[in-house]
Amino acid sequence: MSDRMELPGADQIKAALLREPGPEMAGTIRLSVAEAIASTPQRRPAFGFLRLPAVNPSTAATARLIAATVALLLLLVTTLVFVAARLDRPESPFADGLVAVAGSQGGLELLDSTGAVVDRLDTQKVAGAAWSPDGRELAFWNGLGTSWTIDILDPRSGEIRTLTDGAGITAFAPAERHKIDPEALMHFQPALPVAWSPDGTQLLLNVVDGPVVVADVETGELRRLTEPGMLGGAAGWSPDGTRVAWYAAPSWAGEYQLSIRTLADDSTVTIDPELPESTGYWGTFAWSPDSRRLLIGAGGAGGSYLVDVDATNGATIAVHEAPDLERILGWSPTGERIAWSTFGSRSAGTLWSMRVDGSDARQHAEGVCWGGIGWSPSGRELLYTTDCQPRSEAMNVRAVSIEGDEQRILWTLETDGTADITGVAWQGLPR
Amino acid sequence: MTTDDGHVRALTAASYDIRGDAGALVEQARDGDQLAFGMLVESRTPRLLRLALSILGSEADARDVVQEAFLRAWRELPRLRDLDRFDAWLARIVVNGCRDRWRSHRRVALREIPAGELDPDREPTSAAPIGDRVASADMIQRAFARLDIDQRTILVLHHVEELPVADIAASLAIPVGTAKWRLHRARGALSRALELEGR
Repeated sequence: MSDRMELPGADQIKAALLREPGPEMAGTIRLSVAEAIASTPQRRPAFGFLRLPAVNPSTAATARLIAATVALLLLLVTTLVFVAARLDRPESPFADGLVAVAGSQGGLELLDSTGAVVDRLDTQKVAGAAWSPDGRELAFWNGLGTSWTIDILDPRSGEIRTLTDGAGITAFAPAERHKIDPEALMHFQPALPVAWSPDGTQLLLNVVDGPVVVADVETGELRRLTEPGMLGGAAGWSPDGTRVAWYAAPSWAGEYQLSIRTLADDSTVTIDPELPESTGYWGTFAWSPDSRRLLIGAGGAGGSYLVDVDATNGATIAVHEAPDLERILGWSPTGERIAWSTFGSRSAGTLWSMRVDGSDARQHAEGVCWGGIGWSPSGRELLYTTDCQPRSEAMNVRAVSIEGDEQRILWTLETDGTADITGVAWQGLPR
Repeated sequence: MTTDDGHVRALTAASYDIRGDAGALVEQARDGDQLAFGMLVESRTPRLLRLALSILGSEADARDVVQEAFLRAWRELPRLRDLDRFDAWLARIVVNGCRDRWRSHRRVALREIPAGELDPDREPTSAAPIGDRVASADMIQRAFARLDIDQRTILVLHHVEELPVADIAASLAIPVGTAKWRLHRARGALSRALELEGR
């Protein structure tokens, strides 16, 4: 990695970047805006009557009656549209698999392959739900504010057991961390805040700037992988289950390092691959299916790259340009392609893939949400969600074929306008 | 300016509590009061102009973006449910406007040179140490110009506006963790751009 220059102090940066407008500019704007709004009507919400100014009781009663009637009509229309959408729903690529959908206001829904809700669980906020490799259990962060537990759901019985109350994880947290916030890492898929070991016996728990911790699925015993005081970033199991890789930095503004722990002997190596000139780690990576290589995201002022690295010694094998790369979504199940995306501002992301030799880079979709992206089990499609803006009435789960870029809507998930979807976990989705 | 009922309203502190109750102004503006919106424009313009100007570097573009942002805010204000978030919402409109403006101009990027910089009597710019070298304000500006619009935006929000990460996240409509991560990356990108400029 190239030597990084230390940044000048905050005052120097501020002095250099600050551009104060002249006083006449503000005056011009005030006049122009005053003129423009005089002839510009405001856009009232469709149901503006719900915010009526103070009125006399009889008017208020009438308004309430109108509101109730319209609400009933709206409910009826929504139901009809939803039923119609279900009748016309295409086949799911997941056969009998379940899909777990977490809402931002709490609650977890399990949907079958037709999109029908088979179970609705009463939870607090759910972050980073992940299915076990055998698809029999679902692990997730469950909580609110700074109080979280790691829970495991048995979807057949509907029972939820708490593996750890989170206090142990908090105890491992570096001093710089002021709270544990698993929500912050939800958009770093597939380096999920919860990741099952390939044999299903351990859970890897990681949160932005917190410790990277492994929990025993049976006993709940916790083991910290990061050094004390180090702030962890994304972490992930090697597909053969023998190693864990993670990013960590000495401070949140510091340089991240990529470490690999071999679990059998607890040895840790820090690899330092040669990145393209003037770039640094983008904080996202993916193991190759054979566990021998890592694809690392790197970027800087000039662009973003996928760096193919030998996981045993950190040697750089190849560097590929990867436009828009902010997080790597992982190798396709067939091992032929690698997918990545931007974080997106809620729903402004783009979705890409290319062959692992660096050829055939393609943008497959725009308007992609940050939750619920992944490969279909066949590796022929990428799954993603759209329309997840706050207060969206419904979001769409879509699939796009890799070869033909043909897009289709799998399901439309109602969010009733009060909540957005914070995560979608596909049962049986390869990692 | 006239009100809906045709009466001229005196613009006084008694009409609007300009000392502290910005929420009341926002509420009145939301309900169509042009005077109230005008007062919001007056109080917010300097900060938003500074924000847009620092991001874009062009006075003409910054003025257009802020003007358009206010017009859009006026149109959309009735749809804003959480009035407490007015300022973050407004900043977001400006930031999005900067992004659109920058992307539309990216192929014909021009860097305006403020008149003051052409003044031969101007004092040399301050310098800051970078490792064993020295970064001048000009160097920082040139490095900043190499960054993409998202990196520029988050650096301005952090270093110029001095917003906490939570407010940056609200202004960009992204989770706090994402804001933190993007800030980390933007600072890294600036450091690397400085390295290039220092060669």
